[in-house]
Amino acid sequence: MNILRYGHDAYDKIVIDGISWDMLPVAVVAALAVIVIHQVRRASRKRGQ
Amino acid sequence: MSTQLPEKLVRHAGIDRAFHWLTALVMTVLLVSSLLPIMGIRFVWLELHWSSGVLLTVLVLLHIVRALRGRNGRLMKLRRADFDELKGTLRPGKYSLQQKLIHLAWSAAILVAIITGVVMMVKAGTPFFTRNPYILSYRSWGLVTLLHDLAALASVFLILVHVYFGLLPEKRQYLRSMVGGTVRREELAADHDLDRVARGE
Repeated sequence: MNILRYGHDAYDKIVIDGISWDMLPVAVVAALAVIVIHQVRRASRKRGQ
Repeated sequence: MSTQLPEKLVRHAGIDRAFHWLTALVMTVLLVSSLLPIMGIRFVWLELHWSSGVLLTVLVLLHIVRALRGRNGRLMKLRRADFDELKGTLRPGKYSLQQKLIHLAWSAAILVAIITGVVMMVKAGTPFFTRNPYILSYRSWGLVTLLHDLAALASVFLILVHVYFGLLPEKRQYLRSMVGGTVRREELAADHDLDRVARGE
């Protein structure tokens, strides 16, 4: 999995072009992780009541 | 003091609700127009993307002016004391610590997207700017694009988390107030300190 996209400048030097779109699922998975952690905490709090 | 509050409280004025839902619509258009081509769905996306970006910029500028002129901006300001909510020694006023934090994250992501987006409009060429890809070096364009991409990924994360919390049954009062504008006093009292709300905190 690539983190960044790379290109070449006028002198053929490698330069950063932006974020690799391989990272798009990472943003989705990070959000899902927050949701799962919150659901687990919510369920354990309900069980404790 | 909390008894002074009416049975139904106006939580979000009509103009703030309009800002919220218009921003949601524009953000959706921006993400769809930029991410679908990456996923292989080809269409003429650039005009739709930059024109939505211009609309977002106008909305955000109006929101900032309104926040600075009224007391809404002060209500959303993150203070050191807000972290006492985590210890349970302080209950939230109008906005909870979590709501202030996600607003701060949204502000950072959207401002980065707008600033880098405006610079990228010079490279792309729009009716607002004469096309000039030479104002920055190739390396600098890469860094501007990197920041714009990061703002887009942060927005994907924030939208998913925001929609999830908005749909939770125990948070439904916030969603209802963002649709209808009002919240019932006893409903708000479950999670907020009504005295702080009455004091305008």
